[in-house]
Amino acid sequence: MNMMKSNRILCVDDDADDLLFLSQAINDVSPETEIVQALNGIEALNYLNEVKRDNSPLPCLIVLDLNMPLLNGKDTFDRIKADPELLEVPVAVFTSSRNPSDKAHFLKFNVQLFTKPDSIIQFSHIVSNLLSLCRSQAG
Amino acid sequence: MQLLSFENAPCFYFSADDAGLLVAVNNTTCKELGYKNDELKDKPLSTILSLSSKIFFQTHLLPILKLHNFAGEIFITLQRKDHQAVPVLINAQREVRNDGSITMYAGIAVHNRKKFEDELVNARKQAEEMLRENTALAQTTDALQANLEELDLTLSIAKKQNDELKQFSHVVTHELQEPLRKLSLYTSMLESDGKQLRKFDLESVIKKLTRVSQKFKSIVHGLQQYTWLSESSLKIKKLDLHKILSVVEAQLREQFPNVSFIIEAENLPEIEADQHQMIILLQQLLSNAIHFRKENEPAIITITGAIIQQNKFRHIADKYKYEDFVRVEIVDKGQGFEPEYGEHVFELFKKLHAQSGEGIGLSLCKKIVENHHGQIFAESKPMLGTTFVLFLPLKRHPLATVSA
Repeated sequence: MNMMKSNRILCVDDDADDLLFLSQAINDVSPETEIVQALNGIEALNYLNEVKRDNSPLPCLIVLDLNMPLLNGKDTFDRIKADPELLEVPVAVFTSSRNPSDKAHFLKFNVQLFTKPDSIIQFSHIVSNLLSLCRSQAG
Repeated sequence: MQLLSFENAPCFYFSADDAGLLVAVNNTTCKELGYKNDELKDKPLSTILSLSSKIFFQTHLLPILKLHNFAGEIFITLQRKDHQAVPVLINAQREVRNDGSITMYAGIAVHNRKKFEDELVNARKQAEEMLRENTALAQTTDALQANLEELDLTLSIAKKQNDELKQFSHVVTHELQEPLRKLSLYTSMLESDGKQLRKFDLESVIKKLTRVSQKFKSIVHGLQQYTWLSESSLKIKKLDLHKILSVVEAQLREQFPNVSFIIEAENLPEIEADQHQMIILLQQLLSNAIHFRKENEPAIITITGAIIQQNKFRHIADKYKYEDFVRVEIVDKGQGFEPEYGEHVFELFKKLHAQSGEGIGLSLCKKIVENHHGQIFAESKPMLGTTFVLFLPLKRHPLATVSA
């Protein structure tokens, strides 16, 4: 099993702007963090399978949007948790959904849910939380 | 050969003079009434009559006989010596002679006649009762059926409205929230003299702002379209679907001037529907098929109609009323989509392909079909194509003109 630790965050979001803001905010705070972008769940799982196959280090964190075409965040999460090799990778949900049932669903799995911000400053706050999730895994 | 006598003939025979005395009484009569032969001769006729028949004789029979000399099929009750009654049906014939008149009576005992009559009357009463009950039952059944149909329809409308409400709520909580958040986000970048622009330039942020406002506008426009397509605005008339299709095909030739596509249709019947909504329905379905054709291939769409009988009950279990529906199958060999999206394609603003339009078209189709109390289904496989199946009632039920 792949136990190598990495400095890599997988960001999964169909919204190119949010993906860009998030990546920039991460790099502003932690330039050494590598960011991999996927536009939906299928792309994300393809990337993770590739990493497993190449025996490369798994990401230290997966940031998942919920509302995406092809494979939504919930289904992507379920597939990640069903895979013993991916099970341990921390997941954070980054969504504009304010649906309490979404929140409740992910709290059950001890997954933190971040609401997408409506100002650029808030991105930095979220990013520092995300990075601490990543570090707790790496450390 | 011995002369046949009527003494022992199987009938009552007796005669009486105008004074009411019996002149002759045959043996059968004596025997049946419990007298010895000849015992009754010269006795008053009233001896062998029951009380009611005595009165009947005086008041009815004798006057008739005196007038017409004949009376037939008269029902009287004779009385035996032991006072038992013997019901008899008699004919009476009066003969006027020089020495006075004689009336001859011939009759048969009808012990069972009363019983048969009673039975007949009872049977008739029962038949009438059953008929009445049956009619009442049939009327109740009809009324119940009509009520159930109305209930089922009301359930359909309630369900449709509930679905629409859910769709609206989803649009308000998600589809509209997103562009709103983006507007707020980009605006925040322009605050404090652009210090928050970071690595973006002003021009690109303004471009984003413009794009988001347009997206906002298109969602509101889509919602308007969806709301306007209501059931209460339907103008139902008889439509030839082939004619509707040729109108739609002409629109599509304008919409896709540089795309080669073929539409083949057969067996489309006349249906009672709203012309405007039918045009939108076919226009949306066919433009989807053309839009999502396979790359570098012409779009080939086949449309086949068939008339089938379908249960009009949708919600109430175990109720059946079969009505004529047209089943329209629209098949394309285009890009298709994953089969698990089947139901979701009809949701408001649901988009499966990145290059989709506003994501409103198929939700309009579903709404139109439901306005007409029909059903629509989608089946698809990636790269094999998509099949839409529509069920539309041929006739608009008079009950169905419920305002919604």
